[in-house]
Amino acid sequence: MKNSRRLFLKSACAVVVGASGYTIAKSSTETAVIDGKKYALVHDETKCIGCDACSVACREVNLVPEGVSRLKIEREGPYGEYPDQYFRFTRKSCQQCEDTPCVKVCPTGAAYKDPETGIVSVDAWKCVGCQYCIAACPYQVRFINPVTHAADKCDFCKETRLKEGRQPACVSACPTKALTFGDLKDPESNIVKVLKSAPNYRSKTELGTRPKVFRIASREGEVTL
Amino acid sequence: MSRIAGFSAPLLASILMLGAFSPAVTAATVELKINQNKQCIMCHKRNGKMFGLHANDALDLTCQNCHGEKAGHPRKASDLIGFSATFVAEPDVQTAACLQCHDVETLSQADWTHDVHSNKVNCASCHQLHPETDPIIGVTASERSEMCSDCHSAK
Amino acid sequence: MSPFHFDGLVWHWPIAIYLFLAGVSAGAITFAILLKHFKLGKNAHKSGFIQAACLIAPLSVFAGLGILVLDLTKPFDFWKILVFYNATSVMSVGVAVLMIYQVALFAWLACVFKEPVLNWCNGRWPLVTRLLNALAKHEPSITGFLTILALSLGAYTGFLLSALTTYPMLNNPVLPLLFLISGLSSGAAGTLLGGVLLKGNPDGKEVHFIHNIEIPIILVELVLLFTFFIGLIISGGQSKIAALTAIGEGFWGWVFWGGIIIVGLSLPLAFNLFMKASSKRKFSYVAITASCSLLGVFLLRNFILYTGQMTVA
Repeated sequence: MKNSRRLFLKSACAVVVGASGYTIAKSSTETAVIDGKKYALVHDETKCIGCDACSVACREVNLVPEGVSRLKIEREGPYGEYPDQYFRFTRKSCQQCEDTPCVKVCPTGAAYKDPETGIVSVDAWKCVGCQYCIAACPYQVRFINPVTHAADKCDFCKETRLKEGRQPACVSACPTKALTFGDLKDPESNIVKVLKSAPNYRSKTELGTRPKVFRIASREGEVTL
Repeated sequence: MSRIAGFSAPLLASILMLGAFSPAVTAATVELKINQNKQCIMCHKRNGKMFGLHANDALDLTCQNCHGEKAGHPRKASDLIGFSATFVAEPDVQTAACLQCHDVETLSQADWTHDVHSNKVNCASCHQLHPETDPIIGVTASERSEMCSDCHSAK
Repeated sequence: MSPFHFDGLVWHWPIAIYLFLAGVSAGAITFAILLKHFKLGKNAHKSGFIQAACLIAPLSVFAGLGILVLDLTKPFDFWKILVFYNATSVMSVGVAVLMIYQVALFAWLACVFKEPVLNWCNGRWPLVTRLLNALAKHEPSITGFLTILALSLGAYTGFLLSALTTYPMLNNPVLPLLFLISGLSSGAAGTLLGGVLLKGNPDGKEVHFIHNIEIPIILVELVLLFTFFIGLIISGGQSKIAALTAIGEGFWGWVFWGGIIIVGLSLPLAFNLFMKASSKRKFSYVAITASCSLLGVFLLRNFILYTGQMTVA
C-alpha cells in the first residue's frame, strides 16, 4: 500500500514538471516571422532641446488622458555657470524590449509583442488590471489608463499614425529632428544609418531586456561615481 | 406718498447712473503714472502705453528705466534700446535692462528655460510687457512647445 | 518619502494581505494533514485544532482571492484571469494552482468530515453519501496531491514577487523559500489560535506536535532572513542599497527589527522553548505565542512588499 502511494506521488510530480516545462518552453520561444519588421527609435540627446513638442503631440494623437503620460522628457540640470548653462534631456517611454518583462508576466496574455512589427502592445479588453506588468517594467513606463482602466503605454503610434503609413507623432513633431524611427532590419533605413554614424547607448541593458529605444548621449553634466 | 416718490425716484436714478459710470470715468481720467510720461507718450501714444504688471504705480517705473534716456531721439543718435530680435542692440544689452531688477537665480526658479537662453536671446522673444497680461503667463503646453519650434526648427 | 507612498510603488497592502492569507491557508491545511496523518488518524474531525485549520484554510483562500479581485482596476473582468492563461506568467500559473488547490482542499475536507456530514444528512441525499464514500476511497491520493498543491501555493506567493526584475530586493531566489516557510509558520499559528478558541486542549498532543515543528521552522526562517539580506548586501550595487534601505532606517526598519524579528520570531521561539521546558501549557501562552507569530508573518509580507518596491534596478 505504501509503495503505491509513493509511486503515485513520484509520477504525479513527474507529470506536473514535464507538462509545465513543456508549456513554458513552448511559449518562450518566439515565432519567427520572416518578413517581420523590427521598429526602433533613436533619441539624439545632443539635438533635444526639451521643448516637449513630442509629449504634446503624443497626448493629442493617442488621446492620452491628463494625469498619465506615454512619453515624458526628463530634465537634469542646470549644469555649468551662467550665462553658459545647459541641461541633459532623456526620453522616458516604452523601450519596446525584445525580451519583454511585461509580456512575460501578464496572466491573461493581454500584453503581447506583435511579431509583424516588433512593437509591444496591450489588448485593453483582455487586461484585467492586475498591474503585474506595471510592476514588472524596469523602466516604469506603463500606467493604468483612467479611461479604459487597462494598462497602457507608448506603442510607437501603432494604432494611430503607423496605420496611416505615417511616422509616429513624436517623430513628426520634433522641431530639431532629434527622433529617428524605422525598421532595424532594413539596412537602407535612416535609423540604421544614424545608429552606425554615432556612438549610442540603451538604458538598463544589464537587465537583459534588449530595448529598442537607442540614445545618442549629450555631454555629461557632472562627474558621478 | 406720491411727493416722496416724486423726489426720490429721479434722485435714486441719478445716484445709480453715477455709480454705473464711475469705473469707466475713473479709467479715463486716472492714468497710470508711467503713461503720463510726456517725453515719450507724446509721440508714442499708440505703441508706447503700458498696461501690464510693470505699469503698476507701486513699481514707480518710467519708460527710461528700461528703454534708456531719450537723448537726441528721434532726430539724433541715442542709446535707446528696442526689445526685439531685429533691433540693433545685442541680446546681452537688451537682457541687461531686465536684469537690473530681475535676479538670475529667481528667473531660474521660475522657469528652466531662462538658464539656457540667459543673455543670448532677448527677453522679448517670449515676453511682452506692454499689454495687460504677458501672453506667456498661462500658456498651454502645446503653445509653449510651438514657441520653441519658432526658433529651434531644424531645416 | 512616506512609508506607504513613494515613487515606484505599484502593489499596495491589499496584495500583502492576499499573500498573507494564501500562506495561512496553505500552512493551515499542511498542519491539518500532518496532524491527521501522524497523530489523530480517523477521529481527526473531533479535534478543535483540525476544525480550526479546516475552517481557516478555505476561508482565508477565499478572502485572499476576494481582496485580489477587488484590487484589480477592472474587477468585473476577473473571470478573464480564470479563462486565459500564460505559462510564462507566475501569476497565471499561480491562479491555475489555486483553482486546483481549492478542488483538492474541498475533496480532502469531505474525506475528513465524512462522518459528521453523513450524520447530519441522515440519509436524505444518497448522492452525497455516494460522493463522500467515493472520495474517501481515494483519501491517500487526495492527501498527497493536496500537500504538493499547498506547498506550491506557499512557494508561489514568493515566486510571484521574485519574477519582478524591476526590484533587486524582490528579484531574489531566497524569497519563495522565505514565503513558503513563513506561510507554514502562519498556518501553524492560525491553527493553534483557532484551535484553542474552539476549546481545544492547550496542553494536548496537537499543541505539543505543532510546537515541536514550529521551533525548527522559526529557526529556518531566521536563517533564511539572514541569508536573504546578507545575500543582497554582498551582491552590491542596487541590491545592497535596497537591503540597507529596507532594514537600516525609518518606519520599515522598526517594523523589521521590532515587529518581525523580535515580536514575530524571537518571542514565539522563546515562548516555545520555555513551554517545552515547563510542564503545562495554558490557553494564554498558546494564544499569545500564536498571535505574535501571526502578526510577525503579516508584518513580513507588508515589509517585503513595500520595502522591495522602494529601490528600482
